[in-house]
Amino acid sequence: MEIREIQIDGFGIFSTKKVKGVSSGLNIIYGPNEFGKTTLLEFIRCMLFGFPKKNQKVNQYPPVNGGRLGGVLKCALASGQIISVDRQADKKDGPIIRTESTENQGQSYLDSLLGYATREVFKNLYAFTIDELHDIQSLRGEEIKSRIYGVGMGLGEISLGKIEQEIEKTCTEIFRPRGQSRMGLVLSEMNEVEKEVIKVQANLGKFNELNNTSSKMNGEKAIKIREIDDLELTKKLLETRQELFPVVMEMLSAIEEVGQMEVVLKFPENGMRRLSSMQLDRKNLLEQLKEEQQNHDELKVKLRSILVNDELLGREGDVLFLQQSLKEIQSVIKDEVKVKNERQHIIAQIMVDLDGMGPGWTEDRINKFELSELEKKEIQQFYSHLSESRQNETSTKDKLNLHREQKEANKLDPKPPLSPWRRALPYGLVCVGVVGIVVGGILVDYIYLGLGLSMVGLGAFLGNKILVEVTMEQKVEDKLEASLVKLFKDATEKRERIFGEWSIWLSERGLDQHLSPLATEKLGDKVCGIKIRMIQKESIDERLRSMSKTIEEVSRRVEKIAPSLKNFVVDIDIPTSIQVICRHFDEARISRGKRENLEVQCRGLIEKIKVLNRKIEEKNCELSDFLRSVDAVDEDSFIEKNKTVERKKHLDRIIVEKKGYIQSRVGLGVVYNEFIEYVKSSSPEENHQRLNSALKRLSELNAEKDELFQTIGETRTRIDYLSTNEDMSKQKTALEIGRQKIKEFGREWAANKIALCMLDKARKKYEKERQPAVIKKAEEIFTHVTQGDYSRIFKPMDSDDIFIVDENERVKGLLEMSRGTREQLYLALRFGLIAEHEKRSEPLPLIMDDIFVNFDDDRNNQILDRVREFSKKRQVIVLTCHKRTLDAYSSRGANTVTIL
Amino acid sequence: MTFKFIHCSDLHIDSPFKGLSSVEHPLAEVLRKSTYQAFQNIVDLALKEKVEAILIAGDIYDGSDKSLEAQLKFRRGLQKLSDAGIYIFIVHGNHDPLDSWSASLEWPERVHVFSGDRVECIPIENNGIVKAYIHGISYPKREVRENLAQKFSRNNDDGFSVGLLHSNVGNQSGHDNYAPCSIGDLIAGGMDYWALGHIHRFQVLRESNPAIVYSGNTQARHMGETGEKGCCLVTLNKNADPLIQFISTDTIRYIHGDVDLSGTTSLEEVIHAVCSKCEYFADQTKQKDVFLHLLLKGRTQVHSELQRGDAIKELQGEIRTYFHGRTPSTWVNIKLNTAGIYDIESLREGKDFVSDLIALFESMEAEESFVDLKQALKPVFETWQGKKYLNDLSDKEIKDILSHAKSLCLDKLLK
Repeated sequence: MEIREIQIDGFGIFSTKKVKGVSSGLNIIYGPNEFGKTTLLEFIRCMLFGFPKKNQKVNQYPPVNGGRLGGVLKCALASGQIISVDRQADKKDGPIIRTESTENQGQSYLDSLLGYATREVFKNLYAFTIDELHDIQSLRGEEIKSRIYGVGMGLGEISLGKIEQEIEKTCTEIFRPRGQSRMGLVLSEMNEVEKEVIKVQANLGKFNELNNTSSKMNGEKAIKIREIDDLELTKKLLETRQELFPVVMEMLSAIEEVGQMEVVLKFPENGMRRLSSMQLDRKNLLEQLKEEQQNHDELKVKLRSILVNDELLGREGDVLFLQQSLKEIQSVIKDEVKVKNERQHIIAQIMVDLDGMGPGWTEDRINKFELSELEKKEIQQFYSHLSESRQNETSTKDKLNLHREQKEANKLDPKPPLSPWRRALPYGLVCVGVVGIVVGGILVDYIYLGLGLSMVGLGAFLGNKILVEVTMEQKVEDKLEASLVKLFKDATEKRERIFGEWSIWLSERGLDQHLSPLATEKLGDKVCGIKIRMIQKESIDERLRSMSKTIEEVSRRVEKIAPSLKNFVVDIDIPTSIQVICRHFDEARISRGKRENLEVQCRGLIEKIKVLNRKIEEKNCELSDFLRSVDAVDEDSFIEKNKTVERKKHLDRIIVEKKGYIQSRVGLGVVYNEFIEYVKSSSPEENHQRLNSALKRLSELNAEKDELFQTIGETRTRIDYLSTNEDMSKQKTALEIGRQKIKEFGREWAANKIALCMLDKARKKYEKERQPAVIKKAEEIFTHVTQGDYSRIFKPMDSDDIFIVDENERVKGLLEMSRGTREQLYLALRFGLIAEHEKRSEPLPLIMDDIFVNFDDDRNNQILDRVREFSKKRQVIVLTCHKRTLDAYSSRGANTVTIL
Repeated sequence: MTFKFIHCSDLHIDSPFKGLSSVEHPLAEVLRKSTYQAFQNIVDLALKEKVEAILIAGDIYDGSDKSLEAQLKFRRGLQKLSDAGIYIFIVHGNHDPLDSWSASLEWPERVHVFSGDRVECIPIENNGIVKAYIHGISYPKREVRENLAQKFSRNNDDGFSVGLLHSNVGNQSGHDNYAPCSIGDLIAGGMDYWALGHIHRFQVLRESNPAIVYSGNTQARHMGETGEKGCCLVTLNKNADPLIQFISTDTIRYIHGDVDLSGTTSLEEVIHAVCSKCEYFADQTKQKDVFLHLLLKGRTQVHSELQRGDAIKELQGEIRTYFHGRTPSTWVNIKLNTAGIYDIESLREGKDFVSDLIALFESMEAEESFVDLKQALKPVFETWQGKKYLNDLSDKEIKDILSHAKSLCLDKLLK
């Protein structure tokens, strides 16, 4: 591919710049310092391989004079086709590659046109500055290879040697046959874990052993427990025997005693108790008899000491009358004086009332006088008629007087006469009306006629009204006074007539004729009041008579009873006498009750004493019969017989009780008999000795059992520990993790190791297949440039250095070369590498930025020839700021390119 | 007449989980107890379904060094079943052959362990009527290469006949070829149902006459065992095909998943992508704890950031924090297989060292024997004293390693 035109929209100092006229073969672009040669070189790199990313720490070449970062590169392909590469930094989809008919976008497409050359290959081989050439100095070994071979390898700044060192380091960290490494560490950890696993497994093997031991010991435990149980039984038997020895002996002794006892027949059941009971009954009866007799005597004495007033008791009816009258008599005595006083008071009041009635009024007249209801009504009527006539009279009189006063007053102040204009007004109106009628008649004007008639009418009406008014006033005054006088006379006559009737009514009833109706009414009321008092006085008199009668009756009875009482004098105070009599009567009655009660008791006791005597006799008979029934002579012999019987019973009870107890402990039947025989034939000492030896053996066995239990417990604990132990599981997990770690490390190591191997293989292949051609081509160019001063370049296979050999076969290393010679060597190597690269790839334009400055003239001319030669097969663009270089290249037919 | 039972196998009780180089404590406990919990789930299922028997087709324990705790746990479960009147039939497999150490435990009343010298036939009676005959044989030793299926034959016509065997039918890959046999051998035995063990994946090889079934293991134990794990609830009918229901018993489920990070430009985006994936899988497993193995792949700008030292650990820490405290639990193990954003096609077409290197890798991948590579790896994989912990590298593994090495080289050369 060759460049034809460069169009810069914006890039560093360039803005809308164009570089036209770039042709095939050799091109020279001249410009002074600051002209932008290096910027142009970088622009071409960016156009072909992309602009640096914003985060890359390199010169981004921002357009300082405006324009978008980017531009267009017109190129010609080997086929002759012209393409334009349009790339803008802000477009992420890559460059647009246009032909006349097509348009493609993307770096991949452009890469295919560039023969898949990388940015690094282009930068290192095709487009470089003197700095990039000068950058290679004082380098040895890997660095040289990196730089020189890197150019051909397309690795750029990356050092293969460093990569290999890094990988080698990783490999060694992961694994090394001897010394510390990750795999080694994991392995040693796993060995430890495996040891632990073996230990746990060994313990697991013991599980069965422990289980067997445990089973065995459990068997032993069962035997031991059985033996202990047997011995416990023996011990128990011996202890029982030991305990029962005295019991058996007691029983045997009782049996023997019973055998020797007298036989008592016919002794009743509970004989002694029955005897005692009878004796006790008899004794009780005797005591009871004695006690009752004493009581009887005491009663008799008491009876004799009681005195009763039978005479008084004989007057019980009178006493009861007095008792009943007591309260009444007390009340009569108390009220008598009060009633008498009351009577006196009423009499005095009657006298006063009679005096208030006026002369002629006595109690008899009072009794006879009475106002009926009809009479009372008549009084009321008189009263109202009189009041009414009197009022009427007074009223008419007042009216007449008032009229006369007014009349007098009017005479003193006469009414003013009618005013002259008022008197003249009707006449005037009539006159005007007449005039109007006349005029109307003359003029035959109805309006004047009408008005004249109206005014005549109105004048006549007013004149008439005023005259009538004056006449009426004078006539009325005279009539009223006459009427009032007549009314007054009528009223007076009426009043006098009623008064005459009233006087007649009073005289008919013998009353004072001057009494007014109201006074008469009051007189009637007073008569009624006096009558009531007179009735009250009668009632009191009756009461007083009754009281006297009661007192007399009571006094008579008291006196009647008095002789029946000793030392009793009738008191004036009748109630006191009554009370004394009553008290004596009550005492006599109580004494009589007591005496009667004692008499009843006495009779009862006599009866009781008789019954007791009979019972004692019966009891004696019963006792005699009882003693005879057991052939006892007397009570003492009966008691002896009873003792014998009771003893035998006691012994029999002991025998039964002991036998039962023994049987409950040792058993019945044969076992019991054997046991009794054993006791008879042995001694407690002998049994005790056997018991002691059994206890000793039992203690030994229990100790052995406890020890066995402890061992079993320990074994169980160990079994449980093994059963629940998770060590095995955990260790296996740890082993598995370790195994996996080793596996992963192994694979990582293998990947790194293989990477190393492959890099080594690739390097060897590269050195073998590509480097010799590179060196050969470089050698040819270098020999030409140095005009035979140096005839050979070589690189031993086992060395990383590069050597040159002069015409005298002297070998020089890089450090021995002059700067110019070294640069010429590097340039020759680049040319060689380009030639090698282009064997398999599209030729790309070679752009060199002032790299010839350190060359002497001869070598410069030589290199110029080589460049011109080189430009026959590919486009070469030389950027320079030296005029001599421009001239030299121009003179050799180089196309001079200008920047617009 | 019907006969209802549970068929399970490969319990591997108390076996350690595999494939994790580091694991935090709560997860370790859950993983460690998961196999026993799965067995416990079977016991609960049997009691709930009131089955008449449980058939265990070998590999109850993981290895001959089975722990005592595992045996006791197993025995406790059997006791519970026996007490409920359920019969248990056991054959031993290659992981727990009869010659391996066992604690001398007394089995509960209704447990029958088949011997290793001949096929035994044990009837199951109900009210005096034989409902089924269980035929079975245990592995007397770890490696049994004999065709045991040929030893089975039906002797009774009354009741059902069920064969219980730990075997690799049809030489299935990924499992040792113990007691190998063919489906034809099994059919010839005349059984109604073959309860098989050894293969860790539920498979119905034949649905009836006879039904030939692998119940698979009851709980996955490493990342290679993904998907549901459980047992078979089987009802045999006299006049109909057997009813075979797969019931999951696992308490934690292993899931493999890829997370494509192509186009991601920041770690935040990576975390978001991974969390979304985790959420997706967690939702799918519903009530189970889940252990996710996520492979991050794709070309991403953050590739080199992810490659850095503890980047993956930190990422796992972030995910752990995100899922912390949730029930059921979600654990994540992340592996990295991302690539940088370089264009491998362009690189391959280049004419430089990198293209040479890529060509070399590709020619190496195409090789069959990898002699040179194996030679290079000899110090670790052949001569190192810890090599017993490293399996021999399979060709696939070598290819994976080669791919890893290629990425490693390109990452370093092209950064």
